[in-house]
Amino acid sequence: VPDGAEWRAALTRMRGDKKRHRVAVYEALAYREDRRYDSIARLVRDVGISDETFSKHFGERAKVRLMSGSSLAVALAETKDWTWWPYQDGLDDAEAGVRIRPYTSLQATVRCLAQWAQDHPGLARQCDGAPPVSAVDRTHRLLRDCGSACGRGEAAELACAAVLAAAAPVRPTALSVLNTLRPRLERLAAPPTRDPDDAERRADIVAALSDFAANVLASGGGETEGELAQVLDRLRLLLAPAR
Amino acid sequence: MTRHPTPAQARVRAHVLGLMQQRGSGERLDVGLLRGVLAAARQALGEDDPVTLEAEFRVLEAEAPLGRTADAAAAFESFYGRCFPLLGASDVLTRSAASQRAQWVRKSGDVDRGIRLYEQELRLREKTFGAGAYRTCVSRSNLAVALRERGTPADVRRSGELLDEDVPLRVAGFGTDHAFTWAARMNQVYLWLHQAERVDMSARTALAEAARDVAQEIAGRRAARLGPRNVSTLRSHRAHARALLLLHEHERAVWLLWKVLTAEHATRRVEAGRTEFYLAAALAGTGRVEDRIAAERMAAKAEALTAERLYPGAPEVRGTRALLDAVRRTEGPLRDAPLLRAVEVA
Repeated sequence: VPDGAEWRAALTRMRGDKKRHRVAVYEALAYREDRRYDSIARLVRDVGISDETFSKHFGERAKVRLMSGSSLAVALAETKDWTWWPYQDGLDDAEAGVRIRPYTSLQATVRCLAQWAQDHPGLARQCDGAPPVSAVDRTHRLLRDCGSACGRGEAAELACAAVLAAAAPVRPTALSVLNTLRPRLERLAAPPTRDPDDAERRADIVAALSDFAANVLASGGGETEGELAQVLDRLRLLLAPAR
Repeated sequence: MTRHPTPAQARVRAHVLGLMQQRGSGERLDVGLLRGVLAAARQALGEDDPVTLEAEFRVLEAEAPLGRTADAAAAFESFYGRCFPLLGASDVLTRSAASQRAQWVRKSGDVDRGIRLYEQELRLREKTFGAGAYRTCVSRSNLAVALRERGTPADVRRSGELLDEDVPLRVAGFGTDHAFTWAARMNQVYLWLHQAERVDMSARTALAEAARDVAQEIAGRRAARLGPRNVSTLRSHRAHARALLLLHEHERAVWLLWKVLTAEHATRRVEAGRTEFYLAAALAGTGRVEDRIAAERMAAKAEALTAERLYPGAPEVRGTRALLDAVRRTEGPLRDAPLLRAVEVA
């Protein structure tokens, strides 16, 4: 079974009927939400291919399959992935040429996955809200980049939670779905290592000072330099022996 | 029926969203990058394409707090006028545009019209999305904030009622440990601060202590979850500092506000002049000679920044003027009555 990137490369290389038939199936599953494709009979009729052709592309004898399972389940998983690609490309566009922390990128991926699920609600719900394989790959890679040791299964559960939360009756925005999942994201991405005794107080002070220094450095001088001088004056005043 | 985006639309949508997330995580966002996406979307999808309009909305939203309020009001007025016929009245982007229009109309001086627009928006969203829907809750708290800022006794009472309605709906829909619920609780904090700044000392302390505790708690949660330089984190630090001023804890307020100010420089300036205003007030209250000089400088800066951003005669502009005068006139630490007179106007 190929991963998302390998499967995408394989599909990109395909030509002729092989590709045309597949894309016609993806388009039907992705865009015709008024039709419920519980069985392949109706699907192949709408697409205009035979049962044999369908199972040649998506059945067990198919040369490239994104996953194992029934031919309809395979077609659905591939459709999910196929509709996800442009979102992934858009995220890559946003990150091109800039240095971004992996945790920011991870949040953007989860937010974007929620957007995908809201743009394709019927498709996203299929197969118990299973997320697109490439989205799981990306989520897993970014979690590892954040220093997490979690497995692909946990990444898949997180991605699935984003898809399901996007369909909540309160009609959340994609950002609100991300906010819902943040505690889970933090747990997976950065397991707590700090002990909660009196070291915490010192850690708070160090954290506050480092925040402060980071703010000043990140602002890149200019106006801040004058203000930094005032802050330092103030610090000196506090540290000076009482007058 | 869902409008499925085409692959080209989906790519633009994700590109914009990726940039928005960088901004939300406190990375420095160059609005030029968003403008670049908008230009590319216009070329690829067309001016009136729904996803191009989304990108345009994000550009306007990012630019609005950086410039003059009157410009933002005009921009959203015209943008709403385009969305309505193109997307329909109940489209979420049309509604977001209407809400931004109300916000900037109010902030540019036409407070009564802003409130009328918010009232309409809330009724429409209750009908379209349901009372507990995300977007309806946003609209309810927008109205509550607008009423509090207009500030007649009836407005303040109604503002409290709307928030009392809003918080449990958010808790039910999103849980207590959710950024959306924290936002509603922060609106309660602002209401308490508003009331505390207008009552006598005995009633003030209880309100200020409640505001301080909740603001501090939420600032900590936001810093941990949304990032220390996230704009919401910084706003809650600022609310915490306001409460500290009322409780005469000026030294702590000064340090907190310095931190907020440097963080604002590190990311982007929103509501330029607000942090300077409270920092000037905090410095003026410590009683140190060096701080008085710094307070006067900071108040002058707050006045210049606020006047540049808002319309002449805006409450914030009058408030910063009053603070500057008070700092210049008052001997000794500036606390309570003379300080509150300035804060009350602002």
